[in-house]
Amino acid sequence: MEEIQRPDPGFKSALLAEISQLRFFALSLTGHHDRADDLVQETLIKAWAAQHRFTPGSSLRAWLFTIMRNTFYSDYRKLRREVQDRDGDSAARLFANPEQNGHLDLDDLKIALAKLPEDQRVAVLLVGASGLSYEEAAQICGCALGTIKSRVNRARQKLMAHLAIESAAEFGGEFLAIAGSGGSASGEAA
Amino acid sequence: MPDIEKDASAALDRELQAYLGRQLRRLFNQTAAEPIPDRFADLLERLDRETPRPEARVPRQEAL
Repeated sequence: MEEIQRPDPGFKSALLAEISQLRFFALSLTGHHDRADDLVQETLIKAWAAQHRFTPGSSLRAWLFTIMRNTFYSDYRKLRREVQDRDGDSAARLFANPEQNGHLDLDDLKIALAKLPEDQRVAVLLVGASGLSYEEAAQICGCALGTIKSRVNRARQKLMAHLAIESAAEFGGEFLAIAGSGGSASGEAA
Repeated sequence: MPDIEKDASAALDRELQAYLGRQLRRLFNQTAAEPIPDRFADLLERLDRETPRPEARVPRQEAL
């Protein structure tokens, strides 16, 4: 009897293997390491309790991300708004990990991501950073495929506009040189 | 817009889009490279030990 009640041992290993992905998606949603890990923990507890509803063979990652996103919107959003109001500058600290220096050259990207509307930021991170398909991202966000594609496109345009300005100096004007001459890439310079 | 400027703009776009793609992946890799806190493995161990299958209607047997 006891044996029958034991959960599938493979499910635990499968969850463990997804924790890095879950932590990044939690960061995409919350923007803070401490709250991200709390969200991961809550997601794991809910996933464990609901494991009988998971369809073997379907994407565990998409299923977990959907649980995480629902948890975030039901429990965390209000808290986050309150903390943002108190901190004021939390947008500038998106993804900032106090325990490590991180890559300084990613700072511009983090600042640009923090300025995006939340739905666009989540969409571009799911597809561009986490490496999920547009179909999975649409499933996770509960919206149409076209909506996700449009959010990713708009996010990319804004991020590119920001990076074009911020990285011009770092690249020694490389991008501006291309823009100015028009010749090096097209071969049409007269 | 003259053709030469259109070409330049398209080239700039491609460069930037590739750059953005690399930066987004690096942001992910930075998080993925962090050691996973023990709390998650501990949590799953505890859940595995303590929780019966949610759909099991059989009364829990407390004693072995």
